[in-house]
Amino acid sequence: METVTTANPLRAGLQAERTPAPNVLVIFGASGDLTRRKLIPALYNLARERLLPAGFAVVGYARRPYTTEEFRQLMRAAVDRFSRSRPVQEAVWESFADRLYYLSGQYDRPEDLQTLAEFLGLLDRRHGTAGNRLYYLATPPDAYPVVIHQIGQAGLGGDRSNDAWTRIIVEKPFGRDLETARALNRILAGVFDERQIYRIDHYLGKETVQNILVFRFANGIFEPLWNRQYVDHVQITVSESIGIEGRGAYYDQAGALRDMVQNHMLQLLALVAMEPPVAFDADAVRDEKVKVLRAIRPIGPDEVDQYTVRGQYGPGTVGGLDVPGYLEEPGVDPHSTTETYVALKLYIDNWRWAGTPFYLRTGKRLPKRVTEIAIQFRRPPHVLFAQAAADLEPNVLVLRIQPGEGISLKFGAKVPGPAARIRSVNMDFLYDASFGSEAPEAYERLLLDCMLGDSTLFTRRDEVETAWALMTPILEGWARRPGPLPVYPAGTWGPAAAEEFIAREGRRWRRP
Amino acid sequence: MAPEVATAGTVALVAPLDPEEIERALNRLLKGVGSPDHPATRARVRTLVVAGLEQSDLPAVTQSLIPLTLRHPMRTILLVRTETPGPLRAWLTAHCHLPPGGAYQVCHEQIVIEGPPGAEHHFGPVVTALLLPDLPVTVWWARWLPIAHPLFRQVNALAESVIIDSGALGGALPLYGRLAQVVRSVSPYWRDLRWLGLTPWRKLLADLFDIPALQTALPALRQVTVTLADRSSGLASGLLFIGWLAACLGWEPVAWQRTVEGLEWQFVAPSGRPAADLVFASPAAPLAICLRLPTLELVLEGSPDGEWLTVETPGQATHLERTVRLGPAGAGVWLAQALALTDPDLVYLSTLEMIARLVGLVGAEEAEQWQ
Repeated sequence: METVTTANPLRAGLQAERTPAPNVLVIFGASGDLTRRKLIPALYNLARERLLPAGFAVVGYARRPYTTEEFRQLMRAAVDRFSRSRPVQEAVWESFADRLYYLSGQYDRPEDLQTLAEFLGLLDRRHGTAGNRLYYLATPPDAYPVVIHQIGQAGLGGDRSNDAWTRIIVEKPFGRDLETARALNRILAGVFDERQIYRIDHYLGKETVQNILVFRFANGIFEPLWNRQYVDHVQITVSESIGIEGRGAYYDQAGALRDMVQNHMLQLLALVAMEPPVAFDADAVRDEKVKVLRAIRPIGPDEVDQYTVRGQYGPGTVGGLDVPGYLEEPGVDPHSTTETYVALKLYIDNWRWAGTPFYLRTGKRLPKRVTEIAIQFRRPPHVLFAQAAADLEPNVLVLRIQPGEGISLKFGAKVPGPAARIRSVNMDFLYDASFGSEAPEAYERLLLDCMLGDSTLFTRRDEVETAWALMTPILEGWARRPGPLPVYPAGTWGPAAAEEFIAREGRRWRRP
Repeated sequence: MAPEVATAGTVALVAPLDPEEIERALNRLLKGVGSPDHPATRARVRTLVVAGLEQSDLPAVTQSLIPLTLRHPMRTILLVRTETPGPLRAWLTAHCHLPPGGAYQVCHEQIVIEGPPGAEHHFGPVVTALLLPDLPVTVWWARWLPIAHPLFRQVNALAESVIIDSGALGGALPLYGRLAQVVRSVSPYWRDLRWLGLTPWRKLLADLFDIPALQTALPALRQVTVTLADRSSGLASGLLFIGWLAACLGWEPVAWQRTVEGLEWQFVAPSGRPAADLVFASPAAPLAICLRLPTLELVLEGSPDGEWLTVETPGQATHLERTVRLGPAGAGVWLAQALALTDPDLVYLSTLEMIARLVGLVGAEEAEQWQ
């Protein structure tokens, strides 16, 4: 990881401050929702925390004909509304806004990109940004190829000298199957080296996701138990109480598998199941994640009934309000067979996990928002307290990603009294209780990491393609079974088929 | 918004202070706090021993600790000198809060140990018995900084890290010269709140000199002027800043002189003979720093309320002007930062060494006049 040049003697002792080298961030698609809701509020918060370099500027680039002043006003309103730290501090905003520019241009017109190149040169002189460039692809995905191509044509892609760097952040969705993901990777590779490419999965920017690695590899007591010998199975749950929130057109083309499983959930699985990396650096961590993904037993198109369950929410109630079913949502085809719920059983065919099922489930309009990983351990080999512990649950270690971030361990304890009664109790660690400070937003962490050149929390080409190689046959299998999907009432934990799916093997879903 | 903190009743115990009885009393206290909806739970990541307190300091110090424990839950043990003779006493209090959306009230415990003058030697053994097992111990000298007193060494020996505020040495120039020696002779990690208060200033300067054109010009820096409101409250910050800059840039102090408004040191540097001025001028801002380079003058100035730090380049058409948020200042904020640090601060140590050389150059007799 590079931070700033070590030739600056005043930097000594300040390394912990993680200050990136001077740079210009160019946001392609700056008039869109992502810029307004996430990127500019994240940058403002970084400025507020004094984490941006002194030599810094942001250029919003999009087709809409805003002026810089109009763009600043729009972004100010966005920060007022979406920043985690409010009210906005005028002096910080003014200082940040002085470095915020807008350039209107087409993505496919070379002369517009040439204008951008000249403008970036001007900003280097004006703000001391030292020729370092960070591009953020926040356009609709179908514009990615043309933007990447034009960046290359304008000579803005490669590192132009040993002293200046160029990087690009690519938002999800990264393709919609293996073929399209490979095609996008080829286009990127035509302009950028892999080390310049940062594929963002905002789940990896969450503190509690990063803590999975710390929990596993900074503590000696868990790793000896972290294998098929002691673990009965693993459940990964990502449930949402919200519906599709006005994204009907997008979601109906995507579905839960593409939207959640291919990226976020496989990342969680990889972090839970990977072997210890040789170092905590980008390639070592990602090497191990890829190894786990490669070890997942593929589910063929003909096996989807055995290993997967789909569902679609119908009308119901959530949080005391009546909500429509998926097919009644705006922008959704009334005959859609897009899944809003999916459960899968995956096996990792390696030494550590052979025969241990990993159950993944995700859905919309479930009773509550929760993301957790539950490691359920095997029962003791010989039960000494058979009568006293008839109802005793197996030990479960739960890593709660959100909300109520923390770790919980369930174990049996003797009920005080003369009889030998045993009851399951929870031992809880709450992030809030032990670290009361407010965690940064995922985008703050990821933008900063990218400026610092740390790609540990970004996905690599082979990682993305391996994940799509696992998901694509499932999509093909489902495409061959186009009939109506099992419907679950909004506000319940998914279709009855999902309960039967896990009950077949004598297990049941946790109630998070 | 910070959650509201409730304080559960206080329990008093008189010597002999039995650690088991103290622990039992704390358990009873916490049990009484919980409700069926929101049971109480303890969160503790360290023991913080707060030393060097008088009774009159207690309310303010307790108030500064309560918000801190939301971020750094811990057992706090406060050592207080009383004026009235008598046996050692302990006062136990629990402070609890309900995190937003949380199910449990999170509590931390405060133990105040009081003793009259001459009873300080009892503090060490009592505190030793009350330290939380296996968790780090930090000592904070909250008010009094008795670097020459035996208690200072005795209490520091309990801890892995020691937090001081060099500002507590006031305007006594010779004591700053001795601080490097004290810090060198005791092994724990040292944190200096006054030094932490300078971190945003140091960082802002470092950020500016990351810009290639400025970095090239840095070796030619010919003068730095640190302007402070008054000697008593500002000397520590002024010395720390000049000591830091000189140590970082490899300057050798060779001479000093009194000036109308303060002191000036001359240095030999790899590319010239720079000077550093310490000016006590009661400006509107509590601290201002001016760096003169051959082609540029950089002025860093804190706002009067201490919330903001601005960079200006008088008479220059550059775009280096910048305002950053310093945020709330003060012991509680800097203490929170100190508790979050984990590594030894070697730059602070080299800064103290440089300060010792600056004070040594002034000479003992002359420095005494600055007492």
